[in-house]
Amino acid sequence: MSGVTEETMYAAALQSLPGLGSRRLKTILDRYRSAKAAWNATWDDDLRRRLRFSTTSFGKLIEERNVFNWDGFSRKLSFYGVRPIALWDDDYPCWLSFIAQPPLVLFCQGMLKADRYTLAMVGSRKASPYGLNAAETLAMNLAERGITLVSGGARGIDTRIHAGALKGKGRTVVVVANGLDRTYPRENKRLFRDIVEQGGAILSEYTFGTEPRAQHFPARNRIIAGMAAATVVIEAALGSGSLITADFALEEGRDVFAMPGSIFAETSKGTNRLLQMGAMAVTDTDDILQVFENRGWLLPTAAAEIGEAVDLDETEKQVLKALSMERAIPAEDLMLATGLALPKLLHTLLRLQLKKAVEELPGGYIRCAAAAIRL
Amino acid sequence: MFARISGAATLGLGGHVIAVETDISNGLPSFDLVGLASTSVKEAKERVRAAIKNSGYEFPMRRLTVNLAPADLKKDTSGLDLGLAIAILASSGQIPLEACADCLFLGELALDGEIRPVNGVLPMVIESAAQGVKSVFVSSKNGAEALLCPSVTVYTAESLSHVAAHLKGDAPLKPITAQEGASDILDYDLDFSEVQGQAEAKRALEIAAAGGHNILMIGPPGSGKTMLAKRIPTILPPLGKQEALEVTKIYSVAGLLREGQLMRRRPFRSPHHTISRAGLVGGGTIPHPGEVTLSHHGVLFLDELPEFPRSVLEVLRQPLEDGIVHIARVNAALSYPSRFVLVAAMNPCPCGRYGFDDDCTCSENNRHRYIHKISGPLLDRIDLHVRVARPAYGDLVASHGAETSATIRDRVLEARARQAARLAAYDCYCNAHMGHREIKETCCLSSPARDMLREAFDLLRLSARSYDRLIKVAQTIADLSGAEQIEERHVAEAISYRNKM
Ligand SMILES: Nc1ncnc2c1ncn2[C@@H]1O[C@H](COP(=O)(O)OP(=O)(O)OP(=O)(O)O)[C@@H](O)[C@H]1O
Ligand SMILES: [Mg+2]
Ligand SMILES: [Zn+2]
Repeated sequence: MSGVTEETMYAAALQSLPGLGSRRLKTILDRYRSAKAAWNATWDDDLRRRLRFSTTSFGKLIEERNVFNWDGFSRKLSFYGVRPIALWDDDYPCWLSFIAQPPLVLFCQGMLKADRYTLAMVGSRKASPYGLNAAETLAMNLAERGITLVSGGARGIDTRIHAGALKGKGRTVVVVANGLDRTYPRENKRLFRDIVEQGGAILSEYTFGTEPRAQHFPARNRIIAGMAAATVVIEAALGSGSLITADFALEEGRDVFAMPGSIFAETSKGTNRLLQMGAMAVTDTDDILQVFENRGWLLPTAAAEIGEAVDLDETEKQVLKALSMERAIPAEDLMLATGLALPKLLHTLLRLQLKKAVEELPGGYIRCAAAAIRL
Repeated sequence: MFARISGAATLGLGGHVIAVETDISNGLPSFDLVGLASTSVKEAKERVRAAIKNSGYEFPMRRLTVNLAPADLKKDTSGLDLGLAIAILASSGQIPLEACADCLFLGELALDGEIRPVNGVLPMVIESAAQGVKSVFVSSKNGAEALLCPSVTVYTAESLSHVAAHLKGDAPLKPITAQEGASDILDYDLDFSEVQGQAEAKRALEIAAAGGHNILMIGPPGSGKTMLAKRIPTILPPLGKQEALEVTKIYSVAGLLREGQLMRRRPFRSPHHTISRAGLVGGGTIPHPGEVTLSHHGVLFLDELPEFPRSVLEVLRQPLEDGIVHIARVNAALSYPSRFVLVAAMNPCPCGRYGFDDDCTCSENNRHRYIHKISGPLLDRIDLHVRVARPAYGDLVASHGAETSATIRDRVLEARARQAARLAAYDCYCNAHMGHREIKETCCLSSPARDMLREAFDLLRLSARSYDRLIKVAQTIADLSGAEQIEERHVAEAISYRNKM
């Protein structure tokens, strides 16, 4: 692996052993001073007690170390295009190194920069059209302003955040809870590839072969919140993972934003509660940018060139007016509202889709705020 | 004495003339039936023996040999009973053999000599007529069907004794004639005007009918998918004479022909999702036509598509591709025609509300599993996908009339005429059946249409496989609007009916 130091490789190998999480790895490194030294040392009973291992699992750990397949490990790194980045490396995310238990190593596909302008955005997998639309719009605008976004890779809000960031021609980072030799959910394969191609990254604390288990997610969420200057929660039900992410952010003293939602929607109960507890309300992109500016961070003004304004003809405007940004409207209703014949209406709707002003959902058509703002 | 009489059997959809040859010679009384007869023909021995006795004739108590020729044809019809009985009566001298010349006898015999109707009369009579048969004797219930073949004289009789009396000249039967009044008018008792609202679904169905495209309707329970599907035959072009005859033959062989009328309506079949593979494509030791064949020239409707087992749906590939099913058996290899429009319906998710109502209760995973139950190769053969939303109350009570099926059918007919003219040089008559070559050579896109297609492919991430399907649908939309070439608006509309799953 080019550019990866020996020390980082040993750290990555250590983190790949079963049972060694960031807390135990810290204990080991504190004792041996270097990853290489730690790997080659004789692991005695004193270490076992400090690591709070039972004799059997400690024996297993040593056995795993002794049979560790270096060749296979290097081959997988290059096959999947993965680079381990350790706490001491220059491109380790700068905000992350300050949290209580930073991961020793991040496995990384794509590019990481130690940039400060990072923002975590999270939300539920089951979101409303309103939430999805808002996620994409905010992400696009923030990305256009040079902010790097961080989120998970799940369906729903996560996916839309990354899609928005790509539309805004910006960088976005996916933090997953499984080894980078697999993709969950499978249908996001292409999205992830686009993210890497556009200068973003897919990150994981877990070594190859790890399945995404339920117990990994809180740890994963600490990375998402930890990497970012602030966390924005788009839509979250009570007791959902997005609230755990918000908790991590608060514990680390980072800002938390929440997007207000309907008082009737289950998916907004969690975010509305956050607001009640003092989170900052997101009503538009500026609410977030303001905080960055208040801290004296100069934003790279419009790193990506803002797309030229879309021009619409009369029919397109008429159809756009009949659409909602909150829910899908069936073509049937749009016919009534616009008085257009169906073939003409469908034609217009497709042209609007090509201009990214409209999107098609299972139940009909929705207006994309993401493009509408630029009109 | 030797006698040869004509009977007939069916194999697949074809009728075959069977020569029933009997010989009576001196010797110990016996009754041998040769010629690879199936069980049902062997049972015929007993029926024929009883029927002859109970009709006031004598069953010869000598050595009786019957040969059914050709011997290599797998015969499966009790329709040979009547011919068998007549042959025995003729060779034992009880009726004159000359009277049986150029006659075809079809019917199953009851023990008391009554003649019962049989399946497959139409193809058998047509084939016999082609081989020179002039008169046909059938049960009165088969009379109308036999008459569909114009070149024969049809006699119907209640029992064996009536036929025998006719042949002896004792009591001649009167040939039957076609009943007038059987109108030519297509009267479906359904009409599209009964469906209120649903403009999008109706438009997609019109396109499907115009181009012969397969279509999938997606919508919540009770949104009217079944109601719409049942009305598709009413906007398809009326069956042509040749088509009607083909369909009638199929129903005749399957024993589904009612009152021997020519089938003028397009078939509409909606098998339940518990159907077996054999039920769908045909099967049995001597294969019977399956649902795909019963929907030939009509509509095969698969309601609740994801409920059909994958293994059953897989067998639809061949009929969808080739319009024909081949069934190989030890005894026979048969093909049945199966050119139909596939209409499928499904809910968007297990609870049926996803995307249409806010309170879908399905998990993401359940939804995916539900949708992925449908085999990809099948989806690849469905050109149109359309949403069917629950109609608004206002639509249901609206008094303004919706378009009638007849109006829609007129447009469909015009579009079909355009297709037929354009595709005259090729081996197909509607857009859905075009192959890659036909598309390349006959479909022409304006340059804005081309641009839009290119852009849409990128943005909507359409698969390469969907390309041909899109062009075919766009071509049909262009044909419906009477346009000379495919314009941007046609492409746009076609794209909106793409597979969105
Ligand atoms: N557009 C409509 N106009 C008039 N009546 C309608 C319409 N839509 C539905 N109905 C009425 O509702 C009934 C239910 O419709 P149908 O059985 O076709 O729904 P479906 O979509 O097939 O439902 P399921 O998914 O439960 O099979 C119809 O028999 C009809 O009486
Ligand atoms: Mg139904
Ligand atoms: Zn559901």
